[in-house]
Amino acid sequence: MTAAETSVPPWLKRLAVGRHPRRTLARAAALALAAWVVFKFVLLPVRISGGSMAPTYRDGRVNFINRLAYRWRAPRRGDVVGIMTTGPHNLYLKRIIGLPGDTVAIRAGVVWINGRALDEPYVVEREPWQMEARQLGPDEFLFIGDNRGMAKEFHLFGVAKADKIAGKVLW
Amino acid sequence: MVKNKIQTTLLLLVAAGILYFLYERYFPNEEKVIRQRLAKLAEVASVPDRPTVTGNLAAADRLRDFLSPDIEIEVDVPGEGRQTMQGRGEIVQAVVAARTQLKGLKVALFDIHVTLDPGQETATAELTLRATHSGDKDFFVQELKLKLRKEDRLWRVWRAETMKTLSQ
Repeated sequence: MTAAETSVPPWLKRLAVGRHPRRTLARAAALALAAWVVFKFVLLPVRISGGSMAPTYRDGRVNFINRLAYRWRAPRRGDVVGIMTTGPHNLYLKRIIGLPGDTVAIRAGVVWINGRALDEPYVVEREPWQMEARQLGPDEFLFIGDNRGMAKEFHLFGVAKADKIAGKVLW
Repeated sequence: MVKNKIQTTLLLLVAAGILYFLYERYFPNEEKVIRQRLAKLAEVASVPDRPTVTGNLAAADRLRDFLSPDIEIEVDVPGEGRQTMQGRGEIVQAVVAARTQLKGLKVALFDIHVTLDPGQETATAELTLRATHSGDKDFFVQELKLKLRKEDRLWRVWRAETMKTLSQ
């Protein structure tokens, strides 16, 4: 028995590595693997930066993107989703406004879908944005942030294909 | 007997891993070389917290090495539309001017997709640039498409343009 081993109290050793260190190590490895799989492939942790989704999502808040949300169902209008840039490292958080095949337009800040004004209770302020009517392709969605109180030029929004959707925001 | 077999298999796997690592390190494929060049480019484009005049000039000189003499840059500036710059000299001058105004800017490149053209002398890299001011939690994100060309055995950018994930 070495001096180092005698200096560690048995209760502390049991607390740190358990009664069966090998089993503890295996459990820790399994837990680490499970956490890696969950946070890499299922729930993507994100920190919101910027105010384009205000007031629904504030700058600096932490959330998760559920990557399996659209595995068994199609994205719906009103869903808040993470949109990939060239990959999943940086996501744009936007709301789905237009669905494939829809004719979308913005007149005086109001979104029109297939000739009808869209009711958007999450929009608090409205600048008089304009966007010419366009029909979305069979795989295209229109994404806009909830903050319409800012100038259109400084609010990133537009059309992207379904494969750019990383997943749905968890809450 | 079984234990010996397991040990031999493990040793072979470790040896294969080491050989692969050494091969990749000393004979990297072109895609890896491009990724390494882009990582260095991001490093050169970053500005330290306390920039000096000589440091800025040295960085500009290093940047020159990453750009082709006939480089063309096309960027979308919010509210200003598409802006074009041509020629390495003009771009390096603009970078030097910009660096004098900046302090503590960290540039990082993510999600890099490299496509090598047949012949492996030209390539396209699509990536996401993230620029963060030190001490600032917000950051700037921009998708870029870079066209690279092998010149004097070095990959250099000859065309850079901003890309839009969301089109209008």
